[in-house]
Amino acid sequence: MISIAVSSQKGGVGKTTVSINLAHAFARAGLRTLLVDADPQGSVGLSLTRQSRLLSGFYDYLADPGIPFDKILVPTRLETFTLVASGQAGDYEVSGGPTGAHLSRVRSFLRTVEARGYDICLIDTPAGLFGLTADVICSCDAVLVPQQAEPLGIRSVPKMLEGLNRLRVIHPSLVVLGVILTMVQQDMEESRDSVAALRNLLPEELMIRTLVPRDPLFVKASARGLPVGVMEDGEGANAVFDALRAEIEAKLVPN
Amino acid sequence: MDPVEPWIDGDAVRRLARQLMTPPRRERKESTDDAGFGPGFEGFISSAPAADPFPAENEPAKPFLATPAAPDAPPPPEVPKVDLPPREPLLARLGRFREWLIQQLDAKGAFVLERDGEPVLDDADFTKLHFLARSLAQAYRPVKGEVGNVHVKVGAEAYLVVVPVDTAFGRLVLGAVLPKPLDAATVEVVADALKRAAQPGRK
Repeated sequence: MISIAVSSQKGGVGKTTVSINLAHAFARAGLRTLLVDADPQGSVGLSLTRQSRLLSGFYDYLADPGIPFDKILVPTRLETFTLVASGQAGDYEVSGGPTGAHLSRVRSFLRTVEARGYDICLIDTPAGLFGLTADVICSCDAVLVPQQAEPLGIRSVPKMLEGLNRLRVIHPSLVVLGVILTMVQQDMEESRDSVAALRNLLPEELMIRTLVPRDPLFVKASARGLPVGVMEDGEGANAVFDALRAEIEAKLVPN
Repeated sequence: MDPVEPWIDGDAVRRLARQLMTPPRRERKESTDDAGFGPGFEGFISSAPAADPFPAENEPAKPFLATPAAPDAPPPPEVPKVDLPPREPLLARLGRFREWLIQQLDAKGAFVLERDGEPVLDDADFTKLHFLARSLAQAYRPVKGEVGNVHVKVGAEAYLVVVPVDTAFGRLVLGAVLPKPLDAATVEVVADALKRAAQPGRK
């Protein structure tokens, strides 16, 4: 099993959109995929099931070692695609918990996921590279970093790199899949300039070639609780995330 | 319009990026071989859950201060001190400490528990040893003024060495899986290294 944390220094950069749709792409390719919402705001659950607020989920698993694993799994209409919502542990202090506090439980969770035969586990994490997010990254095989293709978004890149380097001291075998640019607007000069600037600044191996466009279809898909690929006119979005999936698979193949 | 300058130090960013892209350390493969058994042993079932690489043996813990050196034995080689840059966050410093254990003492892994037994620095390969380390640390009665440790054999050429250390963050318990128990001098060095790693950042 490969576990991938989808994480970023800033919020609102498209982590959830990337998580949902990349997970859907893996599942469509026939891989048994588990998408985990580790964001206490419960964005993934909000997108994919209207009853998500009532579900037990990831935070309940962290808080209660006795909770049956089956209780937190949410099947979808796609047989290879299963969810874990964020859960009911509403008082769970995410930002207040120190890094390392939940490492054991997160690793226990991933061992259970692997034992259940999943091929891929994607974890949508809260913004920031500390606290529980750091524990998730330090437990996963790899990390994917969405980054807005906008000038303000670029300013968080140094902090993001510093944060990942610190985590790699704790988890030296972490594979950094790369930075994926989101909300790209080809018709806006500032967005095109941001893409070019980041590609010039960061090494090619650290930049995912696939770009995720800013598109009203993503907003509509989230409102209906669907991956964008199943929306009418969503085939183009499927192609984007199929390309992303292929690019990630190529990076994960051992040399 | 340049969205990068003047907000970002490009050289610093490139340096951080290069650092991040150094190849990951390969995980050590768990070995299920034990003395007397090779790959041809038919007792292993390939579909079974992965065997504990270090199954505990029925050997009681031996509380002791340190292995006394034989009178004519040469002094153990001096272990270089761990490099701990100031101002690094605690977990980064503890990570460096663990790397130092691996490189200098051939540790197979290490974890650090806080007073209540919760891991401060975990090691996924040895989570099962937390309870044992905690129990040994609680049972251990140190000789006043001396750093000590307890150890227990947990597998072929594998000892869980438990070193309780009082630090600025309170009592921490180191659990390190080593190929052999530590001598007294090395225990002192290890305890000092953990104490320094757990120091709040210095100016």
